[in-house]
Amino acid sequence: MTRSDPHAGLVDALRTAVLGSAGVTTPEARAAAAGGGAPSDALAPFLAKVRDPSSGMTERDIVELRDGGHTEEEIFELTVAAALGAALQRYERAVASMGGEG
Amino acid sequence: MWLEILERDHKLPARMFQRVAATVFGEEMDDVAKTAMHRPEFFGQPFLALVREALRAPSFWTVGEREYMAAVTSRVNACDFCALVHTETARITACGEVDVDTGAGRPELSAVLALLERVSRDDVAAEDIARVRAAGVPEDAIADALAVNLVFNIVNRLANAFGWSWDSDDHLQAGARGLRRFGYKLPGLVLR
Repeated sequence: MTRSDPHAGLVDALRTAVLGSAGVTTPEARAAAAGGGAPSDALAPFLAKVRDPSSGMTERDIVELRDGGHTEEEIFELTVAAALGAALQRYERAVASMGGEG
Repeated sequence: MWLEILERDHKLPARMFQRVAATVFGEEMDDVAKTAMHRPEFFGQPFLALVREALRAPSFWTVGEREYMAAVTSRVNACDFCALVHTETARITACGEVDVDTGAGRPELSAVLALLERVSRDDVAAEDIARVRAAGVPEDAIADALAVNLVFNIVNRLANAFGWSWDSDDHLQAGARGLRRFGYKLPGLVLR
């Protein structure tokens, strides 16, 4: 069966804002974070932890990124992108399981 | 919070609103609102629009049931910050349709909660949807529950990554009362 997602409009607006807005990171960097990767090797372990909600993050994870030269705005943008990407992956899989387009 | 910009970097209307709210309600605004008010065009404004639709728009599910879905999703995602406040919000918004301490509710709710757990664990399949349909849950109600789950699969990760916390039980209870009273609405001026 085919169906349309009644929440698609607001979901798409959120995706567009997070992944497409002007920011300190490039849309390509945010797309990488949202897609399960990272824009650099240094950010990969942190973003993997963001995606895994049971990973037990601590303030130390943020401090290490700051010490490595990453700004707070950069961390903010990439964290939001990674969280959104992980959530959308689950949502789209569920909507597809309903027989819709996702 | 572990990022100073989320705690302090807000435009003047948002800073003034936080001061007034703290005076009126006797507690600081919660970390979700502070995060949403930081560069709101990037995340907070579109995110809260989705949250309001998912958790407060007319639905097959009551507000209390959707708040309980939020609490259950947050527990699956090991997010104590969200699990605590949405359990309390479910407790004070439900009118007997769900027992937040035991999880007892109508069969449709039980069926969809099992689905949401599978979705959060990224382990959902068509059979899981079929089970929910067999329990009598309409298509739009499944979509509405998935939207609640989406919201919390996002925000649970942010809470865990940004170190969101409650200062005290009074702060937590004030947060739950705020969600009941204002339903995820912030003044438009603080989200620009």
